[in-house]
Amino acid sequence: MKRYTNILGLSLAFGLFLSALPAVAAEKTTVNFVLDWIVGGRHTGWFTALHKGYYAEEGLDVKISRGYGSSGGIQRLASGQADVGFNDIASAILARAKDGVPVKAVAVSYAKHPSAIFTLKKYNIKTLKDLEGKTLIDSAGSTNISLFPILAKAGNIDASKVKWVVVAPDAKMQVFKAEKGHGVLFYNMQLPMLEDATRDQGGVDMIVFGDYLPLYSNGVLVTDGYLAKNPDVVRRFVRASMKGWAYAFQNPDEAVTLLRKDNPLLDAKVAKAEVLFVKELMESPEAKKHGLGYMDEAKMRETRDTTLRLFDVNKTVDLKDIYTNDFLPKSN
Amino acid sequence: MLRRVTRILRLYGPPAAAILAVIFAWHAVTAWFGVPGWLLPSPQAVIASAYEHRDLLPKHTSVTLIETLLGLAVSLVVGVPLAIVVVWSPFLRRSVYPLILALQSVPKVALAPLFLIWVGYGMPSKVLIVASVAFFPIVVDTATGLAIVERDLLDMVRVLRASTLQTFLKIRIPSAMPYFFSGTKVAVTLAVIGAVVGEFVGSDVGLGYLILVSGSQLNTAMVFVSLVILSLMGAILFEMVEALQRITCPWSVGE
Repeated sequence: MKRYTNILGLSLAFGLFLSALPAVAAEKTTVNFVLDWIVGGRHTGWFTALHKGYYAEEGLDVKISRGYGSSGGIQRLASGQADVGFNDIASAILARAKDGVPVKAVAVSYAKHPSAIFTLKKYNIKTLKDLEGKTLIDSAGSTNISLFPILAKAGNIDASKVKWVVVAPDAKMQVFKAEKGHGVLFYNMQLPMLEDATRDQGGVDMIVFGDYLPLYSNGVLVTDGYLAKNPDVVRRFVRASMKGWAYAFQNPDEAVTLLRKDNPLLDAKVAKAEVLFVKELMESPEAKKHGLGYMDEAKMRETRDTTLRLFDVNKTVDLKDIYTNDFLPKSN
Repeated sequence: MLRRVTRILRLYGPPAAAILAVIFAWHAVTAWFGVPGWLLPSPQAVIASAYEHRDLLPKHTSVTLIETLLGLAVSLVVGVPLAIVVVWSPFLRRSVYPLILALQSVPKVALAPLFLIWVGYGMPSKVLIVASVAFFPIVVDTATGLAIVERDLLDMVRVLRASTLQTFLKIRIPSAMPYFFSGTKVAVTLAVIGAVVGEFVGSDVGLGYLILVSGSQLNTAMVFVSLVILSLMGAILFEMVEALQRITCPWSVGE
Protein backbone atom coordinates (compact mmCIF):
# COMPACT_ATOMS: atom_id res chain seq x y z
CA MET A 1 0.00 0.00 0.00
CA LYS A 2 2.80 2.40 0.94
CA ARG A 3 4.44 2.02 -2.43
CA TYR A 4 1.23 2.87 -4.25
CA THR A 5 0.40 5.93 -2.15
CA ASN A 6 3.61 7.54 -3.38
CA ILE A 7 2.65 7.02 -7.02
CA LEU A 8 -0.90 8.12 -6.26
CA GLY A 9 0.31 11.29 -4.61
CA LEU A 10 2.61 12.14 -7.49
CA SER A 11 -0.06 11.51 -10.10
CA LEU A 12 -2.49 13.70 -8.22
CA ALA A 13 0.03 16.50 -8.03
CA PHE A 14 0.85 16.15 -11.71
CA GLY A 15 -2.84 16.14 -12.60
CA LEU A 16 -3.42 19.32 -10.63
CA PHE A 17 -0.43 20.90 -12.31
CA LEU A 18 -1.78 20.03 -15.75
CA SER A 19 -5.20 21.40 -14.96
CA ALA A 20 -3.65 24.68 -13.87
CA LEU A 21 -1.78 25.12 -17.13
CA PRO A 22 -4.73 26.33 -19.21
CA ALA A 23 -5.41 29.04 -16.65
CA VAL A 24 -1.81 30.16 -16.78
CA ALA A 25 -1.66 30.03 -20.56
CA ALA A 26 -4.88 32.02 -21.00
CA GLU A 27 -3.68 34.68 -18.57
CA LYS A 28 -5.67 37.86 -18.77
CA THR A 29 -4.77 41.34 -17.63
CA THR A 30 -6.60 42.25 -14.47
CA VAL A 31 -8.21 45.64 -14.50
CA ASN A 32 -9.63 47.05 -11.27
CA PHE A 33 -12.50 49.23 -12.38
CA VAL A 34 -14.14 51.37 -9.73
CA LEU A 35 -17.53 53.02 -10.23
CA ASP A 36 -18.76 56.36 -8.90
CA TRP A 37 -21.22 55.11 -6.31
CA ILE A 38 -23.32 52.09 -5.38
CA VAL A 39 -24.21 50.00 -8.42
CA GLY A 40 -27.46 51.05 -10.05
CA GLY A 41 -29.30 50.67 -13.34
CA ARG A 42 -27.14 53.46 -14.72
CA HIS A 43 -24.12 51.14 -14.56
CA THR A 44 -25.71 48.46 -16.71
CA GLY A 45 -23.42 48.85 -19.72
CA TRP A 46 -20.28 47.95 -17.78
CA PHE A 47 -21.88 44.74 -16.57
CA THR A 48 -23.11 44.03 -20.09
CA ALA A 49 -19.53 44.22 -21.33
CA LEU A 50 -18.52 41.92 -18.48
CA HIS A 51 -21.18 39.26 -18.83
CA LYS A 52 -21.36 39.25 -22.64
CA GLY A 53 -17.64 38.49 -22.60
CA TYR A 54 -16.51 41.69 -24.35
CA TYR A 55 -13.81 42.32 -21.76
CA ALA A 56 -12.75 38.68 -21.92
CA GLU A 57 -12.54 38.87 -25.71
CA GLU A 58 -10.09 41.74 -25.29
CA GLY A 59 -8.04 39.65 -22.87
CA LEU A 60 -9.17 41.62 -19.85
CA ASP A 61 -10.26 40.32 -16.47
CA VAL A 62 -12.21 43.31 -15.25
CA LYS A 63 -13.21 43.54 -11.60
CA ILE A 64 -15.98 46.06 -11.15
CA SER A 65 -16.39 47.47 -7.68
CA ARG A 66 -18.68 50.07 -6.25
CA GLY A 67 -17.49 53.63 -5.73
CA TYR A 68 -17.58 56.06 -2.86
CA GLY A 69 -18.08 59.36 -4.63
CA SER A 70 -15.79 61.36 -6.86
CA SER A 71 -13.09 62.27 -4.36
CA GLY A 72 -12.85 58.69 -3.14
CA GLY A 73 -12.70 57.43 -6.69
CA ILE A 74 -9.94 59.78 -7.79
CA GLN A 75 -8.01 58.98 -4.64
CA ARG A 76 -8.20 55.29 -5.36
CA LEU A 77 -6.93 55.90 -8.89
CA ALA A 78 -4.09 58.05 -7.68
CA SER A 79 -3.05 55.54 -5.02
CA GLY A 80 -3.17 52.67 -7.48
CA GLN A 81 -5.93 50.86 -5.65
CA ALA A 82 -7.96 51.15 -8.83
CA ASP A 83 -6.71 51.03 -12.42
CA VAL A 84 -9.66 52.68 -14.16
CA GLY A 85 -12.41 54.78 -12.62
CA PHE A 86 -15.84 55.93 -13.65
CA ASN A 87 -16.21 59.36 -12.14
CA ASP A 88 -17.01 63.01 -12.60
CA ILE A 89 -14.62 64.65 -15.08
CA ALA A 90 -15.07 67.99 -13.30
CA SER A 91 -13.72 66.45 -10.11
CA ALA A 92 -10.73 65.17 -12.05
CA ILE A 93 -10.12 68.64 -13.46
CA LEU A 94 -10.23 70.10 -9.96
CA ALA A 95 -7.91 67.45 -8.58
CA ARG A 96 -5.43 68.08 -11.39
CA ALA A 97 -5.57 71.87 -11.05
CA LYS A 98 -5.49 72.10 -7.27
CA ASP A 99 -3.36 69.15 -6.23
CA GLY A 100 -1.65 68.09 -9.41
CA VAL A 101 -3.32 64.69 -9.36
CA PRO A 102 -2.39 63.13 -12.72
CA VAL A 103 -5.80 61.92 -13.84
CA LYS A 104 -7.40 62.33 -17.24
CA ALA A 105 -10.53 61.25 -19.08
CA VAL A 106 -10.30 58.78 -21.94
CA ALA A 107 -14.02 58.62 -22.63
CA VAL A 108 -17.11 60.47 -21.52
CA SER A 109 -20.35 58.78 -20.47
CA TYR A 110 -22.59 61.55 -19.28
CA ALA A 111 -21.99 63.95 -22.15
CA LYS A 112 -24.99 65.90 -20.96
CA HIS A 113 -24.86 66.95 -17.33
CA PRO A 114 -27.29 64.64 -15.58
CA SER A 115 -27.86 66.49 -12.33
CA ALA A 116 -31.53 67.24 -12.02
CA ILE A 117 -33.93 68.92 -9.64
CA PHE A 118 -36.94 66.78 -8.89
CA THR A 119 -40.01 68.44 -7.43
CA LEU A 120 -43.33 66.98 -6.48
CA LYS A 121 -45.83 67.63 -9.26
CA LYS A 122 -48.19 69.33 -6.86
CA TYR A 123 -45.75 72.22 -6.38
CA ASN A 124 -46.07 73.03 -10.07
CA ILE A 125 -42.40 73.87 -10.50
CA LYS A 126 -41.88 73.66 -14.24
CA THR A 127 -39.15 76.21 -14.98
CA LEU A 128 -36.08 77.58 -13.24
CA LYS A 129 -38.01 80.73 -12.42
CA ASP A 130 -40.42 78.71 -10.29
CA LEU A 131 -37.52 77.73 -8.01
CA GLU A 132 -37.17 81.17 -6.46
CA GLY A 133 -38.30 81.10 -2.86
CA LYS A 134 -38.22 77.32 -2.71
CA THR A 135 -36.14 74.85 -0.71
CA LEU A 136 -33.96 72.19 -2.26
CA ILE A 137 -32.51 69.07 -0.65
CA ASP A 138 -29.05 67.75 -1.40
CA SER A 139 -26.15 66.02 0.32
CA ALA A 140 -23.15 67.61 1.97
CA GLY A 141 -20.33 68.31 -0.45
CA SER A 142 -22.52 67.84 -3.48
CA THR A 143 -21.21 69.54 -6.59
CA ASN A 144 -24.79 70.45 -7.48
CA ILE A 145 -24.93 73.01 -4.73
CA SER A 146 -21.76 74.57 -6.15
CA LEU A 147 -23.08 74.40 -9.69
CA PHE A 148 -26.42 75.91 -8.81
CA PRO A 149 -25.37 79.56 -9.09
CA ILE A 150 -24.37 78.94 -12.71
CA LEU A 151 -27.66 77.23 -13.38
CA ALA A 152 -29.41 80.17 -11.79
CA LYS A 153 -27.54 82.58 -14.03
CA ALA A 154 -28.40 80.53 -17.10
CA GLY A 155 -32.04 80.70 -16.13
CA ASN A 156 -31.91 84.33 -15.07
CA ILE A 157 -32.98 83.71 -11.52
CA ASP A 158 -31.59 84.88 -8.18
CA ALA A 159 -29.69 81.96 -6.66
CA SER A 160 -29.85 83.50 -3.19
CA LYS A 161 -33.63 83.15 -3.26
CA VAL A 162 -33.28 79.36 -3.16
CA LYS A 163 -32.75 77.72 0.22
CA TRP A 164 -30.87 74.49 0.81
CA VAL A 165 -31.42 71.62 3.19
CA VAL A 166 -28.24 69.57 3.43
CA VAL A 167 -28.53 65.95 4.61
CA ALA A 168 -26.61 62.69 4.42
CA PRO A 169 -26.71 61.21 0.89
CA ASP A 170 -28.72 58.17 1.96
CA ALA A 171 -31.31 60.30 3.69
CA LYS A 172 -32.13 62.54 0.73
CA MET A 173 -35.01 60.42 -0.49
CA GLN A 174 -36.66 60.10 2.91
CA VAL A 175 -36.30 63.79 3.64
CA PHE A 176 -37.84 64.62 0.25
CA LYS A 177 -40.72 62.23 0.77
CA ALA A 178 -41.31 63.75 4.18
CA GLU A 179 -41.73 67.02 2.26
CA LYS A 180 -39.05 68.90 4.13
CA GLY A 181 -38.17 70.62 0.84
CA HIS A 182 -39.81 71.32 -2.49
CA GLY A 183 -37.19 69.64 -4.54
CA VAL A 184 -34.37 67.12 -4.28
CA LEU A 185 -31.29 66.70 -6.44
CA PHE A 186 -30.41 63.43 -8.08
CA TYR A 187 -29.30 62.39 -11.52
CA ASN A 188 -31.90 62.56 -14.30
CA MET A 189 -31.64 58.81 -14.84
CA GLN A 190 -33.08 58.36 -11.37
CA LEU A 191 -36.43 59.73 -12.54
CA PRO A 192 -37.93 56.22 -12.74
CA MET A 193 -36.87 55.51 -9.17
CA LEU A 194 -38.32 58.82 -8.00
CA GLU A 195 -41.57 58.28 -9.89
CA ASP A 196 -41.82 54.87 -8.26
CA ALA A 197 -41.10 56.25 -4.81
CA THR A 198 -43.49 59.20 -5.04
CA ARG A 199 -46.36 57.39 -6.71
CA ASP A 200 -48.53 57.95 -3.67
CA GLN A 201 -47.69 61.65 -3.71
CA GLY A 202 -48.46 62.23 -7.35
CA GLY A 203 -45.09 61.87 -9.02
CA VAL A 204 -42.39 64.39 -9.85
CA ASP A 205 -41.33 67.04 -12.33
CA MET A 206 -37.72 67.29 -13.42
CA ILE A 207 -35.37 70.13 -14.40
CA VAL A 208 -32.09 68.86 -15.85
CA PHE A 209 -28.87 70.86 -15.46
CA GLY A 210 -27.62 69.56 -18.77
CA ASP A 211 -30.41 71.36 -20.61
CA TYR A 212 -28.94 74.67 -19.48
CA LEU A 213 -25.26 73.98 -18.95
CA PRO A 214 -22.96 72.41 -21.57
CA LEU A 215 -20.85 70.53 -19.05
CA TYR A 216 -19.44 67.06 -19.12
CA SER A 217 -20.05 64.90 -16.10
CA ASN A 218 -18.96 61.30 -15.57
CA GLY A 219 -16.42 59.61 -17.76
CA VAL A 220 -13.76 56.94 -17.79
CA LEU A 221 -10.70 58.17 -15.88
CA VAL A 222 -7.15 56.83 -15.71
CA THR A 223 -3.92 58.15 -14.28
CA ASP A 224 -1.16 59.35 -16.60
CA GLY A 225 1.10 56.65 -15.18
CA TYR A 226 -1.31 53.81 -15.85
CA LEU A 227 -2.01 55.17 -19.32
CA ALA A 228 1.67 55.38 -20.16
CA LYS A 229 2.34 51.84 -18.93
CA ASN A 230 -0.76 50.18 -20.33
CA PRO A 231 -2.01 52.15 -23.34
CA ASP A 232 -3.26 49.05 -25.07
CA VAL A 233 -5.14 47.82 -22.02
CA VAL A 234 -6.92 51.18 -21.77
CA ARG A 235 -7.77 51.13 -25.46
CA ARG A 236 -9.17 47.61 -25.19
CA PHE A 237 -11.08 48.44 -22.02
CA VAL A 238 -12.72 51.48 -23.60
CA ARG A 239 -13.57 49.58 -26.76
CA ALA A 240 -15.19 46.70 -24.88
CA SER A 241 -17.02 49.09 -22.57
CA MET A 242 -18.50 51.17 -25.37
CA LYS A 243 -19.51 47.94 -27.10
CA GLY A 244 -21.21 46.86 -23.88
CA TRP A 245 -23.09 50.13 -23.66
CA ALA A 246 -24.14 50.02 -27.30
CA TYR A 247 -25.49 46.52 -26.75
CA ALA A 248 -27.28 47.59 -23.58
CA PHE A 249 -28.98 50.45 -25.43
CA GLN A 250 -30.22 48.02 -28.09
CA ASN A 251 -31.16 45.25 -25.66
CA PRO A 252 -32.01 46.90 -22.34
CA ASP A 253 -34.02 43.98 -20.97
CA GLU A 254 -31.22 41.49 -21.46
CA ALA A 255 -28.64 43.96 -20.19
CA VAL A 256 -30.62 44.54 -17.00
CA THR A 257 -30.90 40.79 -16.43
CA LEU A 258 -27.12 40.58 -16.67
CA LEU A 259 -26.78 43.52 -14.27
CA ARG A 260 -29.03 41.84 -11.76
CA LYS A 261 -26.91 38.71 -11.74
CA ASP A 262 -24.45 40.51 -9.49
CA ASN A 263 -26.93 42.96 -8.02
CA PRO A 264 -30.23 41.19 -7.33
CA LEU A 265 -31.51 43.93 -5.06
CA LEU A 266 -32.01 46.28 -8.02
CA ASP A 267 -35.49 46.67 -9.44
CA ALA A 268 -35.56 45.50 -13.08
CA LYS A 269 -38.13 48.00 -14.32
CA VAL A 270 -36.36 50.96 -12.76
CA ALA A 271 -32.96 49.76 -13.96
CA LYS A 272 -34.19 49.44 -17.55
CA ALA A 273 -35.60 52.96 -17.48
CA GLU A 274 -32.26 54.21 -16.12
CA VAL A 275 -30.45 52.56 -19.04
CA LEU A 276 -32.62 54.46 -21.50
CA PHE A 277 -31.83 57.71 -19.71
CA VAL A 278 -28.11 57.00 -19.88
CA LYS A 279 -28.63 56.36 -23.61
CA GLU A 280 -29.93 59.90 -23.95
CA LEU A 281 -26.91 61.23 -22.04
CA MET A 282 -24.32 59.22 -23.94
CA GLU A 283 -25.69 59.74 -27.43
CA SER A 284 -24.63 63.34 -27.65
CA PRO A 285 -24.30 65.07 -31.05
CA GLU A 286 -20.54 64.53 -30.92
CA ALA A 287 -20.99 60.86 -29.99
CA LYS A 288 -23.36 60.32 -32.88
CA LYS A 289 -20.69 61.69 -35.20
CA HIS A 290 -17.53 60.20 -33.72
CA GLY A 291 -18.70 57.27 -31.61
CA LEU A 292 -19.71 56.74 -28.01
CA GLY A 293 -17.41 58.38 -25.51
CA TYR A 294 -16.12 61.12 -27.79
CA MET A 295 -15.28 64.40 -26.07
CA ASP A 296 -15.75 67.68 -27.86
CA GLU A 297 -12.94 70.17 -27.30
CA ALA A 298 -15.10 73.26 -26.95
CA LYS A 299 -17.40 71.57 -24.45
CA MET A 300 -14.42 70.29 -22.50
CA ARG A 301 -12.93 73.77 -22.42
CA GLU A 302 -16.24 75.11 -21.10
CA THR A 303 -16.32 72.33 -18.50
CA ARG A 304 -12.80 73.13 -17.39
CA ASP A 305 -13.28 76.89 -17.23
CA THR A 306 -16.62 76.67 -15.42
CA THR A 307 -15.31 74.17 -12.90
CA LEU A 308 -12.16 76.14 -12.09
CA ARG A 309 -14.07 79.41 -11.86
CA LEU A 310 -16.72 77.87 -9.65
CA PHE A 311 -14.23 76.60 -7.10
CA ASP A 312 -12.06 79.72 -7.21
CA VAL A 313 -9.01 77.90 -8.50
CA ASN A 314 -6.43 80.30 -9.86
CA LYS A 315 -4.19 77.72 -11.49
CA THR A 316 -5.21 76.33 -14.81
CA VAL A 317 -4.66 73.07 -16.61
CA ASP A 318 -4.03 72.29 -20.24
CA LEU A 319 -6.88 70.62 -22.04
CA LYS A 320 -4.54 67.90 -23.18
CA ASP A 321 -3.87 67.09 -19.53
CA ILE A 322 -7.51 66.48 -18.71
CA TYR A 323 -8.78 64.50 -21.66
CA THR A 324 -7.86 62.57 -24.77
CA ASN A 325 -9.87 60.94 -27.50
CA ASP A 326 -6.90 58.85 -28.61
CA PHE A 327 -8.04 55.74 -26.81
CA LEU A 328 -11.54 55.58 -28.23
CA PRO A 329 -12.33 53.01 -30.89
CA LYS A 330 -11.93 54.62 -34.27
CA SER A 331 -15.41 55.30 -35.61
CA ASN A 332 -16.28 53.58 -38.82
CA MET B 1 -40.44 16.39 33.45
CA LEU B 2 -42.73 19.08 34.79
CA ARG B 3 -39.72 20.69 36.54
CA ARG B 4 -37.96 20.83 33.15
CA VAL B 5 -40.92 22.42 31.41
CA THR B 6 -41.47 25.02 34.11
CA ARG B 7 -37.78 25.84 34.10
CA ILE B 8 -37.78 26.42 30.34
CA LEU B 9 -40.90 28.54 30.63
CA ARG B 10 -39.40 30.55 33.46
CA LEU B 11 -36.17 31.20 31.56
CA TYR B 12 -37.43 31.75 28.04
CA GLY B 13 -41.01 32.77 28.66
CA PRO B 14 -40.47 36.42 29.58
CA PRO B 15 -38.12 37.32 26.72
CA ALA B 16 -40.27 35.49 24.17
CA ALA B 17 -43.37 37.24 25.45
CA ALA B 18 -41.62 40.60 25.33
CA ILE B 19 -40.49 40.07 21.73
CA LEU B 20 -43.96 38.95 20.67
CA ALA B 21 -45.45 42.01 22.34
CA VAL B 22 -43.08 44.27 20.41
CA ILE B 23 -43.90 42.57 17.12
CA PHE B 24 -47.62 42.84 17.85
CA ALA B 25 -47.32 46.54 18.69
CA TRP B 26 -45.27 47.09 15.54
CA HIS B 27 -47.90 45.33 13.44
CA ALA B 28 -50.63 47.35 15.12
CA VAL B 29 -48.93 50.64 14.39
CA THR B 30 -48.38 49.87 10.73
CA ALA B 31 -51.83 48.40 10.21
CA TRP B 32 -53.98 50.84 12.15
CA PHE B 33 -52.15 54.09 11.52
CA GLY B 34 -51.58 53.59 7.81
CA VAL B 35 -47.86 54.25 8.09
CA PRO B 36 -46.28 54.15 4.59
CA GLY B 37 -44.14 51.13 3.90
CA TRP B 38 -41.10 53.16 2.99
CA LEU B 39 -41.16 54.81 6.44
CA LEU B 40 -42.01 51.85 8.68
CA PRO B 41 -42.57 48.52 6.97
CA SER B 42 -44.92 46.04 8.64
CA PRO B 43 -43.51 42.86 10.18
CA GLN B 44 -45.04 40.86 7.32
CA ALA B 45 -43.31 43.07 4.75
CA VAL B 46 -39.99 42.56 6.48
CA ILE B 47 -40.42 38.79 6.60
CA ALA B 48 -41.48 38.74 2.95
CA SER B 49 -38.44 40.80 1.99
CA ALA B 50 -36.14 38.48 3.93
CA TYR B 51 -37.62 35.46 2.18
CA GLU B 52 -37.36 37.07 -1.24
CA HIS B 53 -33.66 37.79 -0.83
CA ARG B 54 -32.86 34.81 1.36
CA ASP B 55 -30.00 33.72 -0.89
CA LEU B 56 -28.21 37.04 -0.31
CA LEU B 57 -28.43 37.02 3.45
CA PRO B 58 -25.97 34.25 4.38
CA LYS B 59 -23.11 35.82 2.44
CA HIS B 60 -23.57 39.34 3.76
CA THR B 61 -24.31 38.16 7.30
CA SER B 62 -21.20 36.00 7.43
CA VAL B 63 -19.00 38.86 6.21
CA THR B 64 -20.27 41.21 8.91
CA LEU B 65 -19.97 38.44 11.49
CA ILE B 66 -16.36 37.72 10.52
CA GLU B 67 -15.47 41.42 10.66
CA THR B 68 -17.04 41.61 14.11
CA LEU B 69 -15.30 38.51 15.44
CA LEU B 70 -11.88 39.33 14.00
CA GLY B 71 -12.15 42.91 15.23
CA LEU B 72 -13.10 41.63 18.68
CA ALA B 73 -10.16 39.25 18.65
CA VAL B 74 -7.80 42.10 17.78
CA SER B 75 -9.25 44.32 20.48
CA LEU B 76 -8.83 41.52 23.03
CA VAL B 77 -5.26 40.81 21.96
CA VAL B 78 -4.42 44.51 22.17
CA GLY B 79 -6.73 45.54 24.99
CA VAL B 80 -6.05 42.95 27.67
CA PRO B 81 -2.23 43.30 27.65
CA LEU B 82 -2.70 47.05 27.55
CA ALA B 83 -4.91 46.86 30.64
CA ILE B 84 -2.34 44.71 32.42
CA VAL B 85 0.45 47.08 31.49
CA VAL B 86 -1.50 50.10 32.63
CA VAL B 87 -2.18 48.56 36.04
CA TRP B 88 1.34 47.19 36.45
CA SER B 89 3.12 50.46 35.76
CA PRO B 90 1.70 53.73 37.07
CA PHE B 91 4.11 55.59 34.79
CA LEU B 92 2.65 53.88 31.72
CA ARG B 93 -0.81 54.47 33.06
CA ARG B 94 -0.19 58.21 33.20
CA SER B 95 1.31 58.29 29.71
CA VAL B 96 -0.82 55.80 27.81
CA TYR B 97 -4.28 56.31 29.29
CA PRO B 98 -4.80 59.87 27.99
CA LEU B 99 -3.93 58.68 24.47
CA ILE B 100 -6.48 55.90 24.72
CA LEU B 101 -9.07 58.38 25.93
CA ALA B 102 -8.27 60.72 23.05
CA LEU B 103 -8.71 57.90 20.54
CA GLN B 104 -12.03 56.94 22.09
CA SER B 105 -13.32 60.49 21.85
CA VAL B 106 -12.82 60.64 18.11
CA PRO B 107 -16.03 59.53 16.41
CA LYS B 108 -15.21 56.37 14.51
CA VAL B 109 -17.39 57.52 11.62
CA ALA B 110 -14.79 60.22 11.07
CA LEU B 111 -11.85 57.84 11.53
CA ALA B 112 -13.24 55.18 9.23
CA PRO B 113 -12.49 56.98 5.93
CA LEU B 114 -8.90 57.51 7.12
CA PHE B 115 -8.51 53.82 7.90
CA LEU B 116 -9.76 53.07 4.41
CA ILE B 117 -7.16 55.31 2.82
CA TRP B 118 -4.39 53.81 4.94
CA VAL B 119 -5.35 50.17 4.86
CA GLY B 120 -7.49 49.82 1.72
CA TYR B 121 -11.11 48.84 1.27
CA GLY B 122 -10.88 45.16 2.17
CA MET B 123 -11.47 43.16 5.32
CA PRO B 124 -8.44 44.56 7.26
CA SER B 125 -9.90 48.05 7.30
CA LYS B 126 -13.20 46.85 8.74
CA VAL B 127 -11.40 44.73 11.34
CA LEU B 128 -9.40 47.80 12.32
CA ILE B 129 -12.53 49.92 12.66
CA VAL B 130 -14.24 47.25 14.78
CA ALA B 131 -11.14 46.92 16.95
CA SER B 132 -10.92 50.68 17.43
CA VAL B 133 -14.50 50.73 18.66
CA ALA B 134 -14.37 47.60 20.82
CA PHE B 135 -11.05 47.90 22.59
CA PHE B 136 -11.91 50.79 24.88
CA PRO B 137 -14.48 49.05 27.13
CA ILE B 138 -12.18 46.04 27.29
CA VAL B 139 -9.19 48.10 28.37
CA VAL B 140 -11.02 50.24 30.88
CA ASP B 141 -13.06 47.48 32.50
CA THR B 142 -10.20 45.00 32.64
CA ALA B 143 -7.86 47.62 34.07
CA THR B 144 -10.45 48.56 36.66
CA GLY B 145 -10.89 44.93 37.58
CA LEU B 146 -7.16 44.39 37.91
CA ALA B 147 -6.77 47.45 40.08
CA ILE B 148 -9.74 46.97 42.37
CA VAL B 149 -8.73 44.04 44.45
CA GLU B 150 -9.83 43.56 48.05
CA ARG B 151 -7.31 45.13 50.36
CA ASP B 152 -7.63 42.17 52.71
CA LEU B 153 -6.74 39.69 49.99
CA LEU B 154 -3.63 41.66 49.01
CA ASP B 155 -2.54 42.01 52.62
CA MET B 156 -3.06 38.33 53.24
CA VAL B 157 -0.93 37.15 50.32
CA ARG B 158 1.73 39.69 51.21
CA VAL B 159 1.87 38.14 54.64
CA LEU B 160 2.22 34.79 52.95
CA ARG B 161 5.16 36.32 51.00
CA ALA B 162 3.69 36.13 47.54
CA SER B 163 5.77 37.69 44.74
CA THR B 164 4.36 40.45 42.56
CA LEU B 165 3.91 37.99 39.74
CA GLN B 166 2.12 35.50 41.95
CA THR B 167 -0.12 38.21 43.27
CA PHE B 168 -0.91 39.22 39.75
CA LEU B 169 -1.60 35.75 38.46
CA LYS B 170 -3.43 34.28 41.40
CA ILE B 171 -5.21 37.23 42.93
CA ARG B 172 -5.59 40.12 40.51
CA ILE B 173 -6.46 38.23 37.37
CA PRO B 174 -9.19 36.01 38.86
CA SER B 175 -10.51 39.04 40.69
CA ALA B 176 -10.63 40.98 37.44
CA MET B 177 -12.47 38.32 35.45
CA PRO B 178 -15.99 39.64 36.10
CA TYR B 179 -14.91 43.12 35.07
CA PHE B 180 -13.22 41.74 31.98
CA PHE B 181 -16.41 39.99 30.97
CA SER B 182 -18.43 43.09 31.64
CA GLY B 183 -16.15 45.04 29.32
CA THR B 184 -16.22 42.32 26.69
CA LYS B 185 -20.01 42.19 26.71
CA VAL B 186 -20.18 45.90 26.01
CA ALA B 187 -17.42 45.54 23.43
CA VAL B 188 -19.36 42.83 21.61
CA THR B 189 -22.36 45.05 20.98
CA LEU B 190 -20.12 47.95 19.98
CA ALA B 191 -18.20 45.66 17.64
CA VAL B 192 -21.32 44.91 15.61
CA ILE B 193 -21.97 48.64 15.28
CA GLY B 194 -18.35 49.18 14.31
CA ALA B 195 -18.61 46.61 11.53
CA VAL B 196 -21.69 48.31 10.12
CA VAL B 197 -20.12 51.77 10.32
CA GLY B 198 -17.10 50.43 8.47
CA GLU B 199 -19.32 48.96 5.80
CA PHE B 200 -21.33 52.16 5.42
CA VAL B 201 -18.19 54.08 4.69
CA GLY B 202 -16.30 51.63 2.55
CA SER B 203 -17.58 48.26 1.53
CA ASP B 204 -19.47 46.44 -1.17
CA VAL B 205 -20.44 43.48 0.95
CA GLY B 206 -22.00 42.95 4.36
CA LEU B 207 -25.17 43.88 6.20
CA GLY B 208 -24.16 47.54 6.41
CA TYR B 209 -23.73 47.58 2.66
CA LEU B 210 -27.16 45.93 2.28
CA ILE B 211 -28.66 48.68 4.40
CA LEU B 212 -27.02 51.29 2.19
CA VAL B 213 -28.20 49.76 -1.08
CA SER B 214 -31.71 49.01 0.15
CA GLY B 215 -32.01 52.45 1.73
CA SER B 216 -30.95 54.18 -1.47
CA GLN B 217 -33.81 52.48 -3.26
CA LEU B 218 -36.25 53.17 -0.43
CA ASN B 219 -36.53 49.43 0.20
CA THR B 220 -37.01 50.05 3.93
CA ALA B 221 -38.31 46.51 4.45
CA MET B 222 -34.91 45.16 3.40
CA VAL B 223 -33.18 47.70 5.65
CA PHE B 224 -35.19 46.29 8.54
CA VAL B 225 -34.19 42.75 7.60
CA SER B 226 -30.55 43.75 7.99
CA LEU B 227 -31.30 45.57 11.24
CA VAL B 228 -33.05 42.53 12.70
CA ILE B 229 -30.17 40.26 11.74
CA LEU B 230 -27.68 42.72 13.25
CA SER B 231 -29.51 42.93 16.54
CA LEU B 232 -29.82 39.15 16.67
CA MET B 233 -26.09 38.91 15.99
CA GLY B 234 -25.29 41.30 18.83
CA ALA B 235 -27.66 39.59 21.21
CA ILE B 236 -26.35 36.11 20.46
CA LEU B 237 -22.72 37.17 20.80
CA PHE B 238 -23.57 38.87 24.07
CA GLU B 239 -25.21 35.70 25.37
CA MET B 240 -22.23 33.63 24.29
CA VAL B 241 -19.86 35.84 26.26
CA GLU B 242 -22.15 35.60 29.25
CA ALA B 243 -22.22 31.83 28.92
CA LEU B 244 -18.41 31.86 28.98
CA GLN B 245 -18.58 34.05 32.06
CA ARG B 246 -20.96 31.60 33.71
CA ILE B 247 -18.44 28.82 33.11
CA THR B 248 -15.31 30.64 34.23
CA CYS B 249 -16.58 32.77 37.09
CA PRO B 250 -20.08 31.65 37.92
CA TRP B 251 -20.18 33.71 41.08
CA SER B 252 -20.25 36.90 39.09
CA VAL B 253 -23.31 36.16 37.00
CA GLY B 254 -26.69 37.16 38.39
CA GLU B 255 -29.60 34.70 38.40
